[in-house]
Amino acid sequence: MMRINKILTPLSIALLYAVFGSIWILYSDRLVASLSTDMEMLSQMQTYKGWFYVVITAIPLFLLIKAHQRLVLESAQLLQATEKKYEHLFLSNPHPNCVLDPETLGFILMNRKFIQTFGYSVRELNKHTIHHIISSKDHAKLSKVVNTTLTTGEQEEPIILRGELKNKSTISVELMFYEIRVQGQVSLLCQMRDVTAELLNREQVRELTEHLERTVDERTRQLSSVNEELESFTYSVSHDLRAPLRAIDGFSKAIAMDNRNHLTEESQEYFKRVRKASQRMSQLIDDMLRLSRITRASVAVKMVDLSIIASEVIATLDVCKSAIVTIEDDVMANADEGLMRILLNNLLSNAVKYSSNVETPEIHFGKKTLDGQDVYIVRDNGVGFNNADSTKIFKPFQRLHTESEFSGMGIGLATARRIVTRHGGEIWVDAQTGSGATFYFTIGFRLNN
Amino acid sequence: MNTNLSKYIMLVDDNQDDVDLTIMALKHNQIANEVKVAFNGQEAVDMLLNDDDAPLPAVILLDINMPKLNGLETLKILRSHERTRTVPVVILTSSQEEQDLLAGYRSGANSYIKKPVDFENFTEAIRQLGMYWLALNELP
Repeated sequence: MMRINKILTPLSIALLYAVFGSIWILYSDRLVASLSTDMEMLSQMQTYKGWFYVVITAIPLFLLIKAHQRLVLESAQLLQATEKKYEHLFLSNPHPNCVLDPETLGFILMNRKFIQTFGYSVRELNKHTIHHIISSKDHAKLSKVVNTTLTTGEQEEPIILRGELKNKSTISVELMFYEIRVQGQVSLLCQMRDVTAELLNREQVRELTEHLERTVDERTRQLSSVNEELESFTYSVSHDLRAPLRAIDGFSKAIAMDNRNHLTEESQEYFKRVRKASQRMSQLIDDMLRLSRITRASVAVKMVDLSIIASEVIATLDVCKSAIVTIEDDVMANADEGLMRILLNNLLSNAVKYSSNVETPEIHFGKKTLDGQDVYIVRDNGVGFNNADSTKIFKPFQRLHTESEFSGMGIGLATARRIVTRHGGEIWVDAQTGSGATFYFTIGFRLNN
Repeated sequence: MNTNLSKYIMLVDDNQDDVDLTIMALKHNQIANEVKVAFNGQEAVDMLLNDDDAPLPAVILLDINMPKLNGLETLKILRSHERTRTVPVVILTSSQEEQDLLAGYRSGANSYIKKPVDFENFTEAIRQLGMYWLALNELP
């Protein structure tokens, strides 16, 4: 349709009509005259010929007008769509946009956001150039970027300048200039973005990060100095506390030996106790050192089968013949194998020890999922303890039973807790006097399936 | 007959109690060698290196943690002198630290023994030590 309309311009239509009319006038009478000689008949045919002409010219006229009408309608729709696009792209663009005269840099068009951002009315802006809303400190930069755009047709990258609002406050705007043609005229489109909040946020984030880094550095320094102190403390404990104990033990042995004929049985017994006490203290020192060594030990994490470790640990323990030991298969953890062995040894040996007085001891190792996290379980049906003491027992040298009931130093669970802590996990216990204890622990390093 | 039995034992330890206990344990095991005591590393170095004609010990029992010159420093000095390079040195210490054990061997110790607190165990350790270094071991 468009093609036909293009071809049939008003002039060509008029010409065609003129040619057709002329030919008709020149030849139609001759044609009619050749058909008949009867005058009455001829006059009647002339009338038909006239009607025929009217009809034959009315039809193309009708078609052409109709096509024209459609074209006009389509153009109107196109215009409407263009206006809508303009509305979306420019007027209701969420960022401040304006069109400038490329020579004077005076404002030609501003969108709503632009008016809203800078606070000036359209009339006020029309009297000014873009310099009016950019801080004078940035005018040199502005000129440079405008010149680049006008010579090369595009700006390389957005530039951030200080914008000045009507109310005298300053904002940061990111500007991008484009050379555009509006109705054949070269204009400058200036797209802006208010980046004040963004820059402020970025600055705050930078400050926070710096502060955080400083804090971490400081803490790391503190921590390493504490670690150093701990190291030297451990060293002196290891070395200096043992020497006096050796003297106590050795010299009491010497006195007892040298005077074995003069000492009463009671005194001999007291010397034995002195030696036993010093040896126990030496054992305590060793346990304390072992505990501190676990704190310092490096944790080499890998996939570990806790079921296998638990079985191996059980095999080394003195388990009653009547005991029922259940170990779930394929209990996996992402952890340090050596430390897991110490952990399970401490928990399982406790389970064996504290259930040894029960007729049928039951010891269980397994896993369950709580809130999407793997929780490992060591359970026994032994003497248990009052649940009120459940946090106490993880402290070093805390014992709930006398040495004569159950032997031990009270270091096993403290060690267990340290190991779990080193793995970013938690350990807790649920117990009841007379009906056993259930230990739960988690490992912070997730299994990657 | 092993000539070591006629040589003396040098004991380097700053703790009088440990010195007495060691001598007691040696006596207890009928080890009759003369015992010379140095109360710190500097004393030991002076005794061994000041006089080139002074006899060398069969074995040096060396503590680690001592004032003035500690055991490891003493050992390094002894190993750097031709005269004392081959004298057997047994580190006899309370320290159970892995780092001391390693440093001891790296500095040229021939043996590293942790002093047990229990006197019976200590006596046994001294017995075996005497047996090995004084009776069995051959010196160049």
